[in-house]
Amino acid sequence: MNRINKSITSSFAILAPIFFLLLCPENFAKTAAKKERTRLKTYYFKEADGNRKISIALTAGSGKKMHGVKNGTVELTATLNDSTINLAVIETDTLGEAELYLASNYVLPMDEDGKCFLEVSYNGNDTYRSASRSLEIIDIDLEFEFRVEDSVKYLGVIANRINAEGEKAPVEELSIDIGVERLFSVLPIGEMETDEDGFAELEIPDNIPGDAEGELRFVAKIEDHDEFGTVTKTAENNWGAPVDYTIKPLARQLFTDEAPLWMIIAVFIILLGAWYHFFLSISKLVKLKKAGKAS
Amino acid sequence: MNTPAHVLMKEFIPYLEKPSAKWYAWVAILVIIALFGMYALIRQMIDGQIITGMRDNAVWGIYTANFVFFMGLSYAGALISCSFQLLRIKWAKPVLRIAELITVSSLIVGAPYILFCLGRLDRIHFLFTHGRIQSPITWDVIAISTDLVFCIAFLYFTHIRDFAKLRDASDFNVAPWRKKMYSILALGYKGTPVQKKYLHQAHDIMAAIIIPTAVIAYSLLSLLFSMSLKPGWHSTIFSPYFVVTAGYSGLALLIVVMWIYRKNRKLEKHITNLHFNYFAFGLIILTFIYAYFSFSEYLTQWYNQTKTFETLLNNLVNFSQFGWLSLFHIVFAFIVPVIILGFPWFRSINSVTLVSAFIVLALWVKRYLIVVPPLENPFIPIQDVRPEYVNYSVSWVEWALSISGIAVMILIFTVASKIAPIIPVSEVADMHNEEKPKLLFKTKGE
Amino acid sequence: MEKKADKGNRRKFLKNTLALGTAALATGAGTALANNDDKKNTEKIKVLTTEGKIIEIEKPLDECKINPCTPAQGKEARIGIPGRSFVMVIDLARCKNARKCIEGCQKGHNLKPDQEWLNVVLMKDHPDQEPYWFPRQCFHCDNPPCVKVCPVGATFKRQDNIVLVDNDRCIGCKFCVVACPYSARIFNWDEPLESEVAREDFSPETSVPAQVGTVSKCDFCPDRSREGKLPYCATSCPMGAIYFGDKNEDAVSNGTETERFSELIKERAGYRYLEELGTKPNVYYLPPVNRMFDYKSGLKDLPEEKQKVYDNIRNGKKSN
Repeated sequence: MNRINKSITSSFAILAPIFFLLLCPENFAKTAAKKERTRLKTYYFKEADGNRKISIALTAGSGKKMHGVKNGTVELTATLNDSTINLAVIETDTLGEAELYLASNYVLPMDEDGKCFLEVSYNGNDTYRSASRSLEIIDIDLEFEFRVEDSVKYLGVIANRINAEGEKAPVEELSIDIGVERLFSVLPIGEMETDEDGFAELEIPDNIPGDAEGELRFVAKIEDHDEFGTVTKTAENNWGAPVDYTIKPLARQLFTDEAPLWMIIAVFIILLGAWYHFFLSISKLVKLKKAGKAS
Repeated sequence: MNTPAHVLMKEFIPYLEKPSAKWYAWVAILVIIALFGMYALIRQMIDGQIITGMRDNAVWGIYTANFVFFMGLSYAGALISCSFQLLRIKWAKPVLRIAELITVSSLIVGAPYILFCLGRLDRIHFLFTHGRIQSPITWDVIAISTDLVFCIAFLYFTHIRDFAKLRDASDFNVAPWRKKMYSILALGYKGTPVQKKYLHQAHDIMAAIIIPTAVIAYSLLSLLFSMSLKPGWHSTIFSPYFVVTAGYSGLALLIVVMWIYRKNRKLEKHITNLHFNYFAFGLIILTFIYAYFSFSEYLTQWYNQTKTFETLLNNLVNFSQFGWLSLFHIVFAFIVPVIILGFPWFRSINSVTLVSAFIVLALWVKRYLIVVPPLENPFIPIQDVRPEYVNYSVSWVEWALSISGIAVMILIFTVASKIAPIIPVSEVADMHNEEKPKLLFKTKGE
Repeated sequence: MEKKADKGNRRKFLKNTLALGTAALATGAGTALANNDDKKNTEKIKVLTTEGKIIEIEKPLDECKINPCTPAQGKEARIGIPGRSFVMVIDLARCKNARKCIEGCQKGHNLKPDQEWLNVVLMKDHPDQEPYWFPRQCFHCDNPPCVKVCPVGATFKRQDNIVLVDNDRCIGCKFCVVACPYSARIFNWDEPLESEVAREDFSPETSVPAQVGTVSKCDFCPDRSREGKLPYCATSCPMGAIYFGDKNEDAVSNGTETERFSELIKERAGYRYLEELGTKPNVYYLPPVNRMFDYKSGLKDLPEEKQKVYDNIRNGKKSN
């Protein structure tokens, strides 16, 4: 009895809101009409191969229920001397993300300090509210300097910002991560901060495995900086410990394709012994048959 | 022509002539059972091994147990017959052919069980084209095929003189093709002293080489288990333990088959109380040797046990796991044989036979207990919600193939005893000749 | 062969487009789009030119870290990637039985939901120990018991530490399954899932497509290593518990963090499971100290019948 009662109650619990929604269509429509808040996130990347990229993520909802807004039209504009320049209009993908590469000879509109003010905006639609986000970009250049003193190896990096005229100015108090490239990722070696000359230095340990000649590819990286974005620069040097990458065939053993020689010899001897006796006894039968014919 | 051999042969000729309807019916039943096994095998090849009870963890099941079991039975002939030949023991001659037939038939039936385990029977030739000599399976393939060839050869050798007799028998009414077959198989044996010498030499050589081959083959079989690191398998005494178990089960089966033929063919004159008596004595010795090995194996590992072996032992004695099987094995492989064979007032031909039959069964159970429980007890605990992955259970396919194996073995006996007398007539006739025993090999001073 | 050349061309092409002048770029992109076979890589990237136009060109394939980039087949697959020495490090302090590694692995290798190359088991080494979650897959041993017993050489040890299965060779005797002390191997009892990969394209490095009646197991994803990607399990672990890398480079990564292998093992007292068996595994474990989660958090999302499976371990009783 109790169980039946329970199931009636629970089915009522499920059905009640459905009836409620059916009876109050206006109420339902109102909830649907409420627009969702959206958010824009922007990142600027300057990669080791010189490629520059602006990446945009458009999301809606809040907390754990955040989700990407797909096929959202995002406008990219630049502000220079109070005038607005339309740069591009792009659409987000299914994850709500959009990426825009800059051709290598493309010059971002920047002021005399070398600062570029970008604005990314989303106009919204029936379901989503509009959103916008500004992004500042300053072009930065990282230069490597290798130095050995008392057989201690130092890797130095000089950070310079570049203005519209191409003039360089040192960047102070900039945190730079140093690592070496590995098969799957970059192995961090240390972090350093630039001085007033835009220079920072790090001691490099001796025992980092490199390629056959000890060649290492160092990576200097500025991570998600407010003005410079994410900037990566690499340089190669033979400061690593050489690693032999040639193929060394495994010696004959139990788990290799070729068996250990002693095993082959042992099996051969045992089989030879056994089958020799088999054929010896067969030869006796042959003699028996011959003897039968002779008599 | 009225030598003792001819008189004896006359006694058996009626069994070799045109088979009765009853015989055909019996063969038909066996063939049907065998075909059912064939059907199960085909189903397994089409549907995959999902229709067996084997799953990850217990990836081997009663196929492997059967393989080990039948291989073990083959010891009846391989060791008894060959060593009796070399030791010049005469009293056992009337039952030696039965022993040799057990050997050959159990090898023929047993060897395929390892193949039923294969997921890809269509790639079986890879064993030869891509064979790796480091694998115990390769050793088994080589050893068992060698053993099989040698044992068939030996069985044939012991038939040559009887084939010659059957070729020459005048009052033997069989189809001409069978006469011709006997004539070919007899190799022109006429019983001249030279031929006798050659045949005897062939016999001796073959017997001498079969004994080590059989020991090696069965030792290698144990390596299928002891070469892996599994607790319960990784044991140094597995090879001799398997050899002793094989001899034990082989002798027990020999007693059973002896009893069946004695009753069925009224061979009381040939298979006598003496044979049962002597073999019963052998059996009790083997019971103790087997007990000794079992004791050594389990005592050493139990006395100070690793964690995984502890769980294995617990499972073996746990009545919700393997407890009943363990109990059955202990009762019928140790306790009952010792009681029945050990006390004179229980001993009779029938009781010895019954005990032997139970020993054969108990030793099959033992093989099951060797194969399955360690597989269900890996180092890393099984945490699976699928019951069939945790505990092995035998499916109908595996039962069908097991039963059909027994049917094929009986079928081989049925046919073989239609071809030649089940008693080695010529040898038995010689039993009473007071001949000087022949030398085994040449020594100086002869 | 064709595939490789294709990949190379496309990579070169992107470099050119980004470096070239605008006019060449616009026309170049047009012809490139027309010429390129559209069946393989339809992903495009957008490039902003100096003229303020946006053009679309094909996304460059990820830079290949190991040449050749395509999974090795036949004899090549038995040798291994030159000079590499792949290892895995599993941080037991981070595992909370999220089982995402299993799902990632199954998806990547086209496995059925109940086929687990990688499994997470609850362990308790002694009665007073707090139980811990233990992800376990093939350890790619340097002294592999499974490879020794294979009668046809279907499973083999490579010079880059990896133990693979050639399921075109496997006869399904399951000897390797019983020989492995770590229960790492599974058998395809019935037909595996249908795969998009053709039988001729099978590579032991991808282990796809699977075949009924053969053995399969964790393959350390060497096909992904060639592309510079971590194995599926490492990338899908939300806790970053699984590190993978090349011991020769002395670096292991879980996707977000990269550590020196030697230092990780030294500082965190890394060990290998059942070292005493002498199998010399290539999977290392960091002991479950300073755990990030209570082990019970790994039980929460499991169905009741699955939770029962762990009762023996949790109660500290003997297993089974």
